[in-house]
Formats: sequence, C-alpha cells, structure tokens
Amino acid sequence: MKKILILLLILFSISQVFSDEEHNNKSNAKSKNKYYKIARSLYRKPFGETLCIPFIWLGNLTDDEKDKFDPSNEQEPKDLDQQRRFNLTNWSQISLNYFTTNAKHDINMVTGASQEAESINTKGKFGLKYQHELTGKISEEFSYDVKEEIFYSEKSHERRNSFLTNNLKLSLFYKQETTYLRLQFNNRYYNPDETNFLNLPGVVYNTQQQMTSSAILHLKQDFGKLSLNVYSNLRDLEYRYVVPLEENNDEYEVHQASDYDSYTDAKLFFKIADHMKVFGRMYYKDDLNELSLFDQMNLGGGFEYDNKIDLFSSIKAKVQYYNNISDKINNEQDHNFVTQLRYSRRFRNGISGFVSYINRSCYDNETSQIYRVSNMLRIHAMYSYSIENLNNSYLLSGIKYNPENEGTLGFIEQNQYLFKDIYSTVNIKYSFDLFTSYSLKIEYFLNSLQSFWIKNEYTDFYNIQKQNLIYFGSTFIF
Amino acid sequence: MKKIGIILILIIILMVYIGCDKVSNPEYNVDKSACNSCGACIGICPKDAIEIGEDGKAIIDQTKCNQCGKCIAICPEDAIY
Ligand code: SF4
Ligand code: SF4
Repeated sequence: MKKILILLLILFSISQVFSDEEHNNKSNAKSKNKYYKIARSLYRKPFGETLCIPFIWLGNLTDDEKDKFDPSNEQEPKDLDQQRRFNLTNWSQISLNYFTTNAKHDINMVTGASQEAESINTKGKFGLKYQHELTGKISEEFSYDVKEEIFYSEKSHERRNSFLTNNLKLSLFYKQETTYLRLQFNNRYYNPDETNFLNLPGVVYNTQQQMTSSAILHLKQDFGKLSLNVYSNLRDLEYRYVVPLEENNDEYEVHQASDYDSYTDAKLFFKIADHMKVFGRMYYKDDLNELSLFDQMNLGGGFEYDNKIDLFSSIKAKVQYYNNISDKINNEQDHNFVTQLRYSRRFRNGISGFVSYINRSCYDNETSQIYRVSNMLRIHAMYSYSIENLNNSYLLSGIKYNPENEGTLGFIEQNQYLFKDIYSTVNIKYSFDLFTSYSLKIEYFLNSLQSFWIKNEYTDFYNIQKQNLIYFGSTFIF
Repeated sequence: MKKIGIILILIIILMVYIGCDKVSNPEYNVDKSACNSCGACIGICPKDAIEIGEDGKAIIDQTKCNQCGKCIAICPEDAIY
C-alpha cells in the first residue's frame, strides 16, 4: 500500500511540473490534437503500425507525410525518423501494476534457489514498468538512440520468466544517401535470485538467466540496382546453474557460466523491375561454445514484389526458398519454402484494413514428401471516426487463422472518446486453443503529452492459469 | 499478368495445404509485419530462443526452440504463428 502511495505521489509531483505546458497546449486545440495523436502513436502501438498510424493521422498531414504514413509503409524503420521529425527526442512512460490473481489460480512457476524467491512468489502483489527513450542528432549523418525499460513484478505471472528485467539499448546510426550503418549494444539484466528456473538447450541443469548482452552491426549499402544488407549479432548469455549437493538435500552449489552465440544474416538484392527484386540470402548461426551443438546455416533466395498501387492500396508478395543445415533441425525441414502475400486498403470513409497470408512448407529428400509447417491467414479491418472533429475513435476487429500452431483467434477492440479528454478502450480476444482475455482501459489526457490511465485485464489461459491484472499508469512525453 | 501470378500462387498454396501432412515438429515463426518489438516473448521463453533481429522485430532461433508455445499465447499482437 505504501508503495502505491509513494508512486502516486511521484506521479502527482511530475504532473505539477508540467502544468504550465498544459496551459499552453490547451490554448491551441488544433495543435493539441496533433500532439495528442503523436503521443498515442508513439507509445501505444496496440496493433502494430498497419492500421494505427493511418488512422491517427487522418486529415492532418502534408502530401509528403501522407506518403510516409501510407498503410503500405508499415514495415519501414519508424521510431527514430518519426521522433526526430516532430522534435520528440525524449519520452518516458511509467505504469504501476496491481495483481489480483487468486492464489489458487496461480501455477507455481517459480521455484527459486533462495527462500526469498518463494516468499515473493506467494505474497507479492505489485509491479512497475518504466520506459524511457532519448534520440538525437550528432551531425547530419550521425544520430543516436538510447532506450531503457525496467519491469519489476512481485508476483509470478504468465508474462515473464523474471521478476526483474532491465533492458538497455544504445545505438549509433550513420546515414547517407546510399549507406546506412548501425552500431548497437543491448543489455538485458535479470535478477537471478528472483528468476524462474529455465532449461537451456545443451545444459543438463536448470539454469537462471542473469544477463544477456549483444553487440550488433547492421549495414545497408545501395549500389544502384544492387543492394546489400548485412546484420551481425554477437550475443553473450550469463547464467548460473544450481546443483544439489546430495539427493533429498536442500543444500545447493551455485555455478556461474556463459554461453556465446553469433548470428550473421546477409542478403543481396537485385532490382529486376520497378516493383520487383530477387535476392540471395545466407544466415549463419555459430554456437561459440565448446561442443558447437547448435550451429545452423540457411542458404537460399527468392523474390519480393512490393507495389503501392495508389495512395490507398498496396500489395506485397514474397516467395523464398532456403536450405536448412543444422544437426538440431529435423530432416523433414531441410528444404523450406515460404510464401507471403499481403494486400492493404484504405477507404475515404475511415475504413481501412488488410489481408495477409503466410505459408511455410518443407520438402523431405528422404521420403520425397512435402509437409506443411504453418499457414497463417490474418484479416484486420478498422473503422475510424471523429467526434467533434477533433477526437478520434476507432473500432477494430480481426481474425487470425493458424491451425498448425493452435494460433487461431479473433478479437475486437474499440477506442472511444468519452468526454473531456477521457478515452476508453475495450478489447476482447478469444483464442480457440490458448486463452480468452478481456480488458478495459480508461485514459485521461491531462494535456497533449501526458496521460493517466487505469486498466483492468482478465486472462484465462485454458487449464493453466487465470489472472486478473489491474494497472495504474501514466505517460509523459517531454 | 500480375493477377494470374497471384492466383497461381494461391492455388499452389491451397494444394499444398490440402494435400500435405503436417510436419512432425511444429515450428514457430514471427510475422514481422505484425510484431511491435515489445519483447514480451523474449521475457517468457524458457529456452532463451528469442532475440530482436535486424529490423527490430523478434526472431526465433530454431535450434534452441523446443516448441513449448508459450510465446504464441503471450504476444500482444498475435504475431507468432
Ligand atoms: S511478443 Fe509479439 S509483438 Fe512482442 S516482440 Fe514478441 S513477437 Fe513481437
Ligand atoms: S515456442 Fe517456447 S521455446 Fe520456442 S520460442 Fe516460443 S517460448 Fe521459446
């Protein structure tokens, strides 16, 4: 209880700091509406860029901006450019969670090495999430991006392996007309005393993750019709494993270990027509540990078709073959075929949507048989509407059909302006095999860049766990 | 011409779908156009098999994945299939 009061106090103090800005923003309803929309597009991302961005910006954009937020552009790198464009270089989000799951519905996921972990699992009720992002330009070509996310939860629930995680990303970008270079360092820290036991591949003992670090290099280079895309990631996992000293004894010996992997993904594209490219691809995973049991190499190629038919519709297709070489992959999956199709459409009356289909199949040399790995059909449709010409609301519904991996589900979501800068979002999701969830969120926009919300989310993971989460949260963009 | 191409691809997929058996081990992948890079799947994977890839979207290391299916249930965008 004390913790809630302290955090509410902090939130209140911060809101006071921003009260002047609130006054300024309220004096200009139109600009307020614009910034309010930016805020929503940056942190909510409730269903990906595809439908969210065109809706949010409807009617407020220049032609150039319209092109940028066209539904067919949903996969383009977004965050850095988007924020720089609007001089939003610094934003934070903080939310408090309150877990009300009944103990009888908990599965005891955590059997921590320390007694402390046990007691936290059964007694804890609170959680906290904090995100912060800072982006800026060093010069015309160089820019940077710092992202930080802390998640802490006193209760074991289905969402995390660890009670505490801290994600840090530091990126440096170099961009020129034909060159894009990114150097990045990622660190994900877990508190091992309060982390679930995992069973890492190739390690006989149960392990607890402590930290993963990645050093990333990403280069894109254009040579006219030819372009090169190379991505390389050197990854280190620090973990500890616990060995019982004797059977039926509560005493353990704790060992510390590291696990190194490197991933390289290189693609060479050649533009053969206006909207079509052929490509060759090599993906290589090098297990840098002693036994190298988890090496993998994919060699293949295919073609991509991407056509923005007009401002309102686009079509994309990708067909790819790759040969999978790894001791850890079943022989059936040596030769793989991936087909992707996607059609997006936006209408003038506020309706937009897309249909996408992905098929994965493989060919087994030995049995000369084709197998299906996975099929996914996804259809989304959204109707967006304005209330009093300023306050956008939407109704979104969609289905995902994925019979092979029990991923078939349907959902409906409505975001509705209520009154005086208060919005509500209702979401119902029904999955045939995995879960049903309901959520309700009420959000109050204090000014264009700050909001407070309360959210209740109930999820029934069939035959595993039922959880009821109540979140208190706030977003500050400054 | 384009339409014929697309129809042909669809027919081939349909034939594969109707006429072929399911692979014996399921495989999970990420639909990159749906992924919002939230990282929830990374936090729940019991095999440390998921990382953020080249385009900021999640990617599954198939050599580590044991097909437990936890990530598919947790993804807020239903991006895993
Ligand atoms: S949980 Fe889903 S949306 Fe989030 S990173 Fe994983 S695949 Fe992407
Ligand atoms: S299916 Fe399980 S092991 Fe595989 S990536 Fe998803 S959570 Fe990890």
